[in-house]
Amino acid sequence: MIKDYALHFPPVLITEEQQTLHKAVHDFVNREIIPIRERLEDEGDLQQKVRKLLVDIGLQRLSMPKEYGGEGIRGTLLNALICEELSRGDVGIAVSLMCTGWAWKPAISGNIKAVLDRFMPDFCGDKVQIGCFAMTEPGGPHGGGGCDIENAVYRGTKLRTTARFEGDECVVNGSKLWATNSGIADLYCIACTVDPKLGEDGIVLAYVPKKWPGLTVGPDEKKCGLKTDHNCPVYFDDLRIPGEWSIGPGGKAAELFWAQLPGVSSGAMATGIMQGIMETVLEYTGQRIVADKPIREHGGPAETLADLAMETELARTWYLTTAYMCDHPEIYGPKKGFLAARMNMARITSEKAVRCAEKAIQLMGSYGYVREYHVEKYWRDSLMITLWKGGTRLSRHNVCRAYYDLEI
Amino acid sequence: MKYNMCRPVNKYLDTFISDEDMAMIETIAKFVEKEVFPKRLDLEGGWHRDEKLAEGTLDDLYAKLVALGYQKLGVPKDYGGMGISTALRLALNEELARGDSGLSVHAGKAHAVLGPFVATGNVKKAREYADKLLSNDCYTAALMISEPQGSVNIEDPAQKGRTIRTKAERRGNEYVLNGHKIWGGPAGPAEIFQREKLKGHLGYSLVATTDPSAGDEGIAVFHVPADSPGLSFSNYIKTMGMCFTDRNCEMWLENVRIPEELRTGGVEIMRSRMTTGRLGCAARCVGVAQAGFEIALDFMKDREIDGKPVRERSLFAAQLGEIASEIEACRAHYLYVASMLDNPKKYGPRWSEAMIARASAARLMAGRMVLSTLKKVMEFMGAYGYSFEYQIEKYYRDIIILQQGFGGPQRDALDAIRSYYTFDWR
Repeated sequence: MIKDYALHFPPVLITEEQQTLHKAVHDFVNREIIPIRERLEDEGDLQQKVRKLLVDIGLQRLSMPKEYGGEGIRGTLLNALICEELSRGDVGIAVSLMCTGWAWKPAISGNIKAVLDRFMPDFCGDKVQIGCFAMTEPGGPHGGGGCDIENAVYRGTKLRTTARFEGDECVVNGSKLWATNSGIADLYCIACTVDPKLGEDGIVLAYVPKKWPGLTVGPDEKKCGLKTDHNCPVYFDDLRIPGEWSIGPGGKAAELFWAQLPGVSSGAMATGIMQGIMETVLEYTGQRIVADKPIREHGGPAETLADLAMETELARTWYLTTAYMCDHPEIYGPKKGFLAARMNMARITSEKAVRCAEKAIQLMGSYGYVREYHVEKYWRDSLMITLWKGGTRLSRHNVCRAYYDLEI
Repeated sequence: MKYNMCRPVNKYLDTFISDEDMAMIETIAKFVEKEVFPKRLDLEGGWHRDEKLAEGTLDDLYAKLVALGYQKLGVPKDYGGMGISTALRLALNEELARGDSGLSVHAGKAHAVLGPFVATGNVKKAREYADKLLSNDCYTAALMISEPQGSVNIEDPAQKGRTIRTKAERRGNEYVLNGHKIWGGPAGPAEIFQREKLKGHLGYSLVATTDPSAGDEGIAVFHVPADSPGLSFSNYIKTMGMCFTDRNCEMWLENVRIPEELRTGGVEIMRSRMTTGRLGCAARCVGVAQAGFEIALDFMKDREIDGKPVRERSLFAAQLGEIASEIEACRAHYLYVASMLDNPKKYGPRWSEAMIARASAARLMAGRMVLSTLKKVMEFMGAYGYSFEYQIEKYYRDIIILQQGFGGPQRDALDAIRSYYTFDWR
């Protein structure tokens, strides 16, 4: 039996409304995801079923604008709480849901009427609709990996996917890699440029629906984990969309593009994984007898368990306080400078999730290595979080930038 | 503040710290930069450990803090003080520790004896000591918990007081105390605390047992005045850090007679100390790490490798980024736990298993963080980091006791996990 007051670490920063929503998602995950989490990564149908359930409990339309049928509830902290809970069940499902919101963010913030009118009603409906924000590119002699494109220092000069404006049409050429929901998305938001030499002024964000002429996708990447988050190459070959489905150039798209980058959700997802590990390993070590008593009642393992508990609580404090700051720009200002640094720090906490999983596997011996004991999946999944958005190595540089000018 | 990120307003979240409180933090932060930074090495008596210099510097800095109103802060509003929140108290501890962790520990000592009187509703005595703290005179006081057989035994909730050997025997309306304590400090004959800038020692808040077989019920906390007949002391224990700022010694009690009204509660008071003490250490660890980090930022700006500042090379930048992250995370966490501590209705009293667990986890984490931070900074600075005048090695020595007081890291870990399931050694 786990003493429950320690498990439900009650956050002091969240409002009653947020607590209620959080509790609903918490119960939902226990009821619908935890029992099937072991099968989820191999069974596409099951993933789709879970996505539909998310639509049914209103999470897909939660942050969408009210005038299109959404709930209009936006906020970094609430989003992060939802991320933590979903990730406890399956982090890929959380990522997939968040990336739908992510693809929509520029259109909502920039109030791009043509895109909103055409696609938003579907996303607020009863069917599963998936969004994809495509940023990273395959690279080449000029670079172009996530680490370059997502590095603010390069100001968009590393983008090689081009947008050309012809009459009232926008023509996109190039390719993208690694974007979450690629291949299964209903709507793509593609970061491209009219000319990489123009830097930020050249950046364009283009919205493209699925199966659009000129859009093709490759096979899914074969990844070691996070399999419920689908990634594949996406190719654009003289893809023509109405010009009004795009944002920029001239700086407006750049602003929206950079606003996409910092985020606390990675930290929240890592926390969810750690909480999941903690619950799993507490149960196992409470039942498994070694030298005549449960593993967790031996001093050494107890200390390791304390480490896991401590790291989990710290990670949670971290994303909650940072998210709170993001939600109060009147005090903490825009998401740059020190706030961007804190958000980058939140991503660094994902490394702790990897270490926690390793420790938990050690406590469980060979069982920890076995699929049906869940922890090995948390471990595989957590590795991916440390690699997003240029990876936690790049995050460290971004942290430094809040303290001093750093030009590598 | 040289770095925008390091300004108090960017360090402490406004949900935990009000604007008014922030002003107080700013004051202390400025005091640390202006008054404490230049005297950091003097607090250890300089390279030659000159006792007079160390003592004089400590008294002088504490007197300046008292003049700023520091001694009044922790006195509850009902008694005419400021009654500050736990979060603010910790933030101030952090700021002082950024200058010198020993000074930060010393500055909180005087309140050790007031809390139990307030908590147990002994209004008369509480007022007497509150009035002293509210005056412009400087005082100190100490906790006495550990015993030679191992402090870990005494503070371990699983032992339920069975291993406490300092006995209190009731005779009429008095208690007679006999036993042997160690590590509490500052301790010593009362007269040595009457110095030019120190008015006196307010006494010891001491843990004893009325009956070891009675478990938690037997645990009793007493206020032992510093000049009580029957007290004797060893010489100071020579420690690797906080050499003069937190002077520890052994204390023997031989038929020390304490009036009944100076019994200040029992197990709850003792366990509260574990929570607040460990959380205080967590805050100080963060302050020291912050100081080390800032020293590294400065040093690595001026130091070059192949014509470029060290901190602009990605190998080092990445590590600096990591240090910053860990400091910020540990800070956010102790503030978070502090806010829970001030809301006992929702999160449980400070002596509860859950709150002890949270404070222990906060300290365990902060202790590891500050050790690894200072080790890294020392690596960055090469032999300079190893040199006395660059401060780092002193910070490094000082913080060890922040990890060890109130039970060490292993004790923290067990108390943290105890809130998830029962762990009792058997």
